[in-house]
Amino acid sequence: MKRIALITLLAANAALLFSQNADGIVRASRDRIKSESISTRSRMVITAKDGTTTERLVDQYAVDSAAGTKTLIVFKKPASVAGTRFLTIENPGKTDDRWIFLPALGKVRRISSGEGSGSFMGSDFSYDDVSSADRGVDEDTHTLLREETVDGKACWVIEAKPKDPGYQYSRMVSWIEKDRSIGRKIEMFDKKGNLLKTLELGNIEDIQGRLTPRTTRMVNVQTKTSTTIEVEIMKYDDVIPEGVFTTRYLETGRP
Amino acid sequence: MGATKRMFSDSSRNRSRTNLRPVLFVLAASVALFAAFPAAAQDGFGFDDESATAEAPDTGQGAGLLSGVSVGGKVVFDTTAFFAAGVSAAGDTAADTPLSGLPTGRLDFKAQGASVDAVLKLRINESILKDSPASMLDEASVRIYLGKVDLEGGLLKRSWGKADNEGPLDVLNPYDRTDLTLTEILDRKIAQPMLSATLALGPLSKVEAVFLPGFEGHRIADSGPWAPLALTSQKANVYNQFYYGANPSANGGMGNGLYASYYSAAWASVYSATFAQVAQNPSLSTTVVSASAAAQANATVSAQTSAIAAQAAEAANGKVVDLLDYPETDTLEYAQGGLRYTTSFGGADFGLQYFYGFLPTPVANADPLAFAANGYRVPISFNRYHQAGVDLATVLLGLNLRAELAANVTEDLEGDDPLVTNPAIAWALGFDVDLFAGISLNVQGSGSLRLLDDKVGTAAFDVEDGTDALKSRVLGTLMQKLFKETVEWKMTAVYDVQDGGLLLNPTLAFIVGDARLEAKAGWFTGGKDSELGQFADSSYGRVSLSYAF
Repeated sequence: MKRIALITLLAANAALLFSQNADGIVRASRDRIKSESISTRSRMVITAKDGTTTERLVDQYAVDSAAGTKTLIVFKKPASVAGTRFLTIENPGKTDDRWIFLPALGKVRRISSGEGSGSFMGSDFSYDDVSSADRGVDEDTHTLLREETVDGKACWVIEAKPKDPGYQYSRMVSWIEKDRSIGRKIEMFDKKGNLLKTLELGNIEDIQGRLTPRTTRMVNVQTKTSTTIEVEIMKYDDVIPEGVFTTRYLETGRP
Repeated sequence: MGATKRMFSDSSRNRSRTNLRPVLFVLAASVALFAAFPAAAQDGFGFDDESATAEAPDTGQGAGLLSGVSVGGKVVFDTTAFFAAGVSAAGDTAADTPLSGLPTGRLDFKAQGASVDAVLKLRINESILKDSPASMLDEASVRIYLGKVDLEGGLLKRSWGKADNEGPLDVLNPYDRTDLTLTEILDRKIAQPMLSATLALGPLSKVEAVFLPGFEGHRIADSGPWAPLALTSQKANVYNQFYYGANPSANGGMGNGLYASYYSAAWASVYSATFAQVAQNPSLSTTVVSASAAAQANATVSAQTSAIAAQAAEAANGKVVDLLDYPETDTLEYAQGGLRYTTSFGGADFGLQYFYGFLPTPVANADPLAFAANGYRVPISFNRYHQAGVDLATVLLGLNLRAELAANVTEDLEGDDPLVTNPAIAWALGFDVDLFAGISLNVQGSGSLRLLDDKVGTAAFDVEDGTDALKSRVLGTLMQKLFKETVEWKMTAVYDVQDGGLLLNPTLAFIVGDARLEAKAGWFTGGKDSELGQFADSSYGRVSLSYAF
């Protein structure tokens, strides 16, 4: 079973790369959860600098297959974007196929797979943050820096430096629990080496035998804005009809 | 972004309340209809049945168990100023700028059963209730799911082709040209009665057959700011004929039309009264009395100028509109149909379609003999055509590319039929890309090339005589969302290459949750004979406040 991308876990796994000692730690963390499918309903609360908030409600379905991972995202709220659906079909070794259905356009559109550092749904997450779980291990150079305690849990502190100088961050520092391999915190630094964002994961619960963080909070320390994702519902290994991952579903909402 | 009218006064509010009765009846009927659908489970996945979330059913057709009727909609209040129209008249200042505005509501009902969806979309505002209640029904349809086959029927808006904006393959719905402030493509489309069957041929392929029992062309305004110049100038001519008559120089420059009639009536009334005074009192000076009578007659007519103008305008409007003799197109004679196949492979989406229908732009017969033979009305017709088209969408060098190519084959295969447009090739090519700092760019070029152009004009009164064989339009939109998507600016430019017409649409919006405060303008420029420049006097600014639910 392959690892499956998941909005709330992606950022936790973002930017974990290996030097030899760090590799095993990071790999263990990233491969910790195995499932044939994941279904989530998440509430995203975006907090502006002045403290005002806006909310998004998003459903996500992902299945793993020999041909690659398929992911469907359905925007439920707010009303202005309700009915918008994203479909991504991973093509190992090739560019992913991605489509979006926009109710205001009334048709399915193919879109490019790389949005890079652009904001995801107006949040503090970039598209790269969201898809970081799919980032190859050998795309970064990892270094084990030290050990520290987070929320009473002993953690490895690992630095990841992207090999691609065009990547949005110059380096990332991750805190991974030593005994459970759960990622708890990531600091992301901009091109100038200044701290840009901090990601924290909490409210860890046992869901169907998997320890799963239900709360993910990304803070942009430079703009003083933040985004909190609360996973309201999560199901592992749920049976998701194959027809969900089709352009027909994007149009009709029917598998 | 609804149609615009004046703000409610007390009297109009009362009138609207009365007119709302049919709306309320329709709403009640629709709710009753939807309530009859069972809130059946569908496919047993997803979250719409989860009590943990305690969310009301959404309009987003999310996956999961079905939950009966969902209601969504939008309420908009906007006010629009037509700058050029207000300041063009002599003596007008910016304070005379015409304003218009009214609340518009839309209600979307959706019901889902185990294998069926039903949709009812209503648009409501004073203008629709007063002038065209039938337009209140924006869409109404039922879709049945039969395994790999979907059957759908009703009043529908359906999009064919890949282009974002009025591509040549998007042939099923005509466009509403009566309000050029509408910029969203689905707002511009007019729903049509149609029946469709879609067969899924795998996860990314399908073939769709569509039948439309009738036909409707593009809807064009016959009055107001968006009436085409050809129509308004014709009305102006007819207006002058009513106002001044066929001989404007007669009667010392008063002409022999309505104005002269009013003057004559006023003069006769006053003059007869004053001469009655002279008869009773011979000491009065006839000259003085006549001068006094003339002054009174002038004053009377001057006070009636508005009434005279209104009468002339009403007569001209009716006359010109009545002059155009449109055919009845909601008959089987005007039935249309098409087939469309779409698939995806190799990182690209492909479409192939055939359509047999009518071109949506009307054709007017300018032959005076035909005019006379038709009871002195201009015969209007629509051209039958076959369309074969292909489209493509792919991603190349980070650009989301879209292309359409169509052959529109009319029944004028020789190119010399004056009342049938020649066959033509039409296309659209566009892309969108994210630039930097969240700025995105969307560009589309589209156009058509008339074939057999050397035959145009060989017959008298050819409808294409004097028009360009090549027509092309470029549309570009720059957009950026800022501050967590709470602020959005957008600049859209539309440029017609051949006639030089230009439209600029700047927009600035502030988004607070589901509410949106938007300022928008439309600036038309170019020659008066250009498609966009003819609306230069209708350039506008608009502020709107909306809430989607």
